[in-house]
Amino acid sequence: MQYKSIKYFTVILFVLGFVNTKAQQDLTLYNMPAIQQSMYANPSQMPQSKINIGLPVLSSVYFNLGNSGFRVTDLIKSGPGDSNHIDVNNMLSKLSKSNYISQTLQIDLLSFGIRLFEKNYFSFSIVEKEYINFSYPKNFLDWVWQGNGAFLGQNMNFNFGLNVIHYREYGIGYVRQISDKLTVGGKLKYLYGMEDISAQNNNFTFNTDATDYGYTTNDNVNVNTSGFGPGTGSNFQSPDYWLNRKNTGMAVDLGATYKLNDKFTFSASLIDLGYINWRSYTSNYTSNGAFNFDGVDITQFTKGDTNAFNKLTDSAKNAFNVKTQHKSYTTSLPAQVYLGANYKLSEKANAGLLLYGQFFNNILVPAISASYNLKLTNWFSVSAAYTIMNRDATNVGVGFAVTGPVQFYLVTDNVIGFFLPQEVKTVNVRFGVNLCFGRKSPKAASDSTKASFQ
Amino acid sequence: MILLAKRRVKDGIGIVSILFALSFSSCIKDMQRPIASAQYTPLLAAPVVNSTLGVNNLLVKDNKNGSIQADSNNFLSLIYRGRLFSLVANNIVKIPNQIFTYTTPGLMPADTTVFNTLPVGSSYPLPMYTDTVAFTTNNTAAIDSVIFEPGTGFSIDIISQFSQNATITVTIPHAKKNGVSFTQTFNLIYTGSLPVIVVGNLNVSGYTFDMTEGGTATNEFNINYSITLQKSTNTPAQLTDNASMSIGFNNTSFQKLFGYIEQPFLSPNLDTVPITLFNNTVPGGGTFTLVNPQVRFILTNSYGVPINATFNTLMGYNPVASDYPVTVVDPKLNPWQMPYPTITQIGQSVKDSVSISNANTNNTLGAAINHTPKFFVYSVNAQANPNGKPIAPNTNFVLDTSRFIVDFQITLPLWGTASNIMLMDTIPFSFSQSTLNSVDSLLIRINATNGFPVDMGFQAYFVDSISPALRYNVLDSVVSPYQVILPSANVDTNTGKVNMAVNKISDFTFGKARMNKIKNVKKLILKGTFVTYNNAKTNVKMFSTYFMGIKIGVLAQLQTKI
Repeated sequence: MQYKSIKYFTVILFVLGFVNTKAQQDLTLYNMPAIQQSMYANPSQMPQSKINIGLPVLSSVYFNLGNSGFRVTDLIKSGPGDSNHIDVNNMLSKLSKSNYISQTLQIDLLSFGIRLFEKNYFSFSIVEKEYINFSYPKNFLDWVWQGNGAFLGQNMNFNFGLNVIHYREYGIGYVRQISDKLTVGGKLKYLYGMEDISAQNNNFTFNTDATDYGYTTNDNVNVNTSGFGPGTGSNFQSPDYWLNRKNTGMAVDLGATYKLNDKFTFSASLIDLGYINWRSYTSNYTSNGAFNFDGVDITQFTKGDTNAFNKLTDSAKNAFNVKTQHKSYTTSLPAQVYLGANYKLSEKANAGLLLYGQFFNNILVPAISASYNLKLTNWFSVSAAYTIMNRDATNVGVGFAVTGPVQFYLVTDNVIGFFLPQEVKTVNVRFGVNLCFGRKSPKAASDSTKASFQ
Repeated sequence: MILLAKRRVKDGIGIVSILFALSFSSCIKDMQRPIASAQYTPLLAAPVVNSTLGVNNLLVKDNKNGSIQADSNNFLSLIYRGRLFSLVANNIVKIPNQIFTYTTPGLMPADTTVFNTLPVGSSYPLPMYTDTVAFTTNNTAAIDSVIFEPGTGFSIDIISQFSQNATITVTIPHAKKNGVSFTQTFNLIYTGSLPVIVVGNLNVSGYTFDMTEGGTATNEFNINYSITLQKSTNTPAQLTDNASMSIGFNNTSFQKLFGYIEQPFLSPNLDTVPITLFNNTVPGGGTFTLVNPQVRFILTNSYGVPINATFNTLMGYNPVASDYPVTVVDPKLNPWQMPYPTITQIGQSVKDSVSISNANTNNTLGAAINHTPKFFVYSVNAQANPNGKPIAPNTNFVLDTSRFIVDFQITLPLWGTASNIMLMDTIPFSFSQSTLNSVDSLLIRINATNGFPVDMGFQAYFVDSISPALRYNVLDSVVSPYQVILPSANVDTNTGKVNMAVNKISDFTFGKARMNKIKNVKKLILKGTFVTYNNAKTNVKMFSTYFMGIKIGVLAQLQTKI
């Protein structure tokens, strides 16, 4: 029994204890031009096939799960003997001030692209995207573990955050090879929102008085939601849900690739710079109050009043009185920045260095990745990457693409997570099937590959 | 070739790197080993009590007899009230059920001769018969007059031996209503058999019965019977023909009653008033002085009866048998000649009061109070008409609304000293063993601000019961070593009034060893000790503006396995 429960506990920790990302991360995919979806990370990436058609739903499925705070092995340590033990103090020591648990799912519903006149590439895609980002403060876990008595007189900030967003992206992309050295690209995206929960920058403080141990709380909480609440569930199956909501927005992806010389190529991209204005089934919850509890007033009992507890709960209820409105609101997408440099090692291989940053909650979350990218044959290419992200250095990325008329690919930024989930903070995978037509001859392809890898 | 070889080496490094990334699969089994339980040792702090206690919270609670009263200067007195006695009309004059019977004498020969010669259909009046009845009051009153209330039962049964029809008129000439005497006529129908019986219920409500027979008697009135025979048959009248009347009063109550109610003793039994100020006070635990205690007796009387009252017993009392008698030397109370309304004040109440204090009790009142009695015990000897029958035109009167009430009020102005006054209480108390085992140490913090001129000590004993003889075996105590938790506020010695509150924080720690000692606790004995300012050497006054702030918090180091 104990063994089983421990096993379940480990699995739960694995699920909860992963994520990091706030949106998709494609650090390995960035350097795999054989896959047309690499344009999602760098819009200036020119696909190698003249015509690329993504199989509906199957052309790109992306899943990401992570926890920036700790690994399972930070909490569950080996030994002594043949058992493990829980080391909460070690886990807490790994946390930063604010930590994130994130989950992302993206599915290409439809995508295709075509190259015209050799130097122009047009693309169109419809992508279903869903993100969940939950932020939790180290303060809170310290407080729970050590008890409030360990923090007497201190204002403990319990600033939790929650972002849940589900939207569909209709994108039109264009890549233009300006010269032999410079290629630029961009993608204009119309966004259709379905659900959203935005609870950011919320403040909740808890103070235990150092003298009397009285409790004082202050809260300043703002939560916006769209697509939840009465009347929305019944529409879930209807066209209203999938097509007619008034939650619209725009976003843009921008990218550029510059070939400095035969060895060095530099690139940069800005992804998901945009917003959604939420207008359907919106609710705006605000709570701004203070609550103080210094103990039970025994005079209420001496007066024969047995409602002392009710008075206390009423007081708390008033302090945390939540006001609800139903106004539209706007959210920004979690924009991402890639800065890349590649060095050609051979005609078939190059090494890449990639800097990555994502804006979340007004904070830039950085990552750095070094990759080795190899085109073994005209139809098979692989990449390996080593990435440091989320204060975690155990991220080994792997990707491969088998490309013929039908292309199958699979890319992950952290393959370790599939085998040692307890040792990593992040795991993600993108895989899919594309139809690729008009590929260049092996020689031409080789030339193209060279350019792409440079 | 060299270049080709170099490329292959580089390509090989890449492939090895990729394969390396795939080589960890077996390590996950490490995580499937059982997890040993870990210790969870949070330090929890919690506020428990935060109260500001005023005089009302501390001195008087849940007692309908007691109250606390502040004068215009906010100076406080404790007031305890009781009712010495309360008399209503029936307590003084009781009118029992009673029956008066009368039989008319036989017919005169001349009457029979004349009547027998009359033709059928003729009327023949007999002479009027008069009966004088003696109204009974169980010797509790000599009634001059009385007015009966509705509901008073007044009945008449007539048994006729006349072999003719007849009418009988009953008249009470001195029972009048609006100047008209009480009269009622009954028809007796002879149907061939005797006797002829008639039963009637009469209404005497509102009639004034004058029972003096014109100022010559009491409790008497006349009833006249006028009989007229109606010759309905040729049956001759006999000398023995007559009629018997039976008149009765039952459930008699009166609106007003005048006369002389004699000299009954109106002595209620011994009674008590609880003094809750001293509840829980341990007898003999200390001294208590009040500068000026008072007892006030308040009379409300609407009886037209002079009453003298003497206090047989007045004393403080502590169970089981500690008496602290009060000797009243006030001439007004020896005896207390209680005022009463005159005939011109009928229906009104007169009031009077008298106070006793140390001055008119030879200081025995203060001495009794200073013994912290839990009760005041009293009995009163009261007698109506102590000087005999009032001289006319004065008379006693009692109304159905008359009340004779003597209230009792103990006033304890809170000005004085208290030394080592000890309050104790015992309450059931136990710990959940799992809770106790989870607590590694416990700190109880009392943060008190005392605005009362009283040093307050507190102790709580954890006790179990190890034998019938040792029911309260002390395991440990909260305050160790014992100390004053709330030092007295500072007092202006000239006025006895507090001029500055005093704050003190006290910590009491229970380590694991002490926690183990009290794990079998069954009860908690709470003890409070009170000494007024300056070790009770200065008289202090209590004001309604005094307060005491109490904050109690706990800091617990828990230890549990997860």
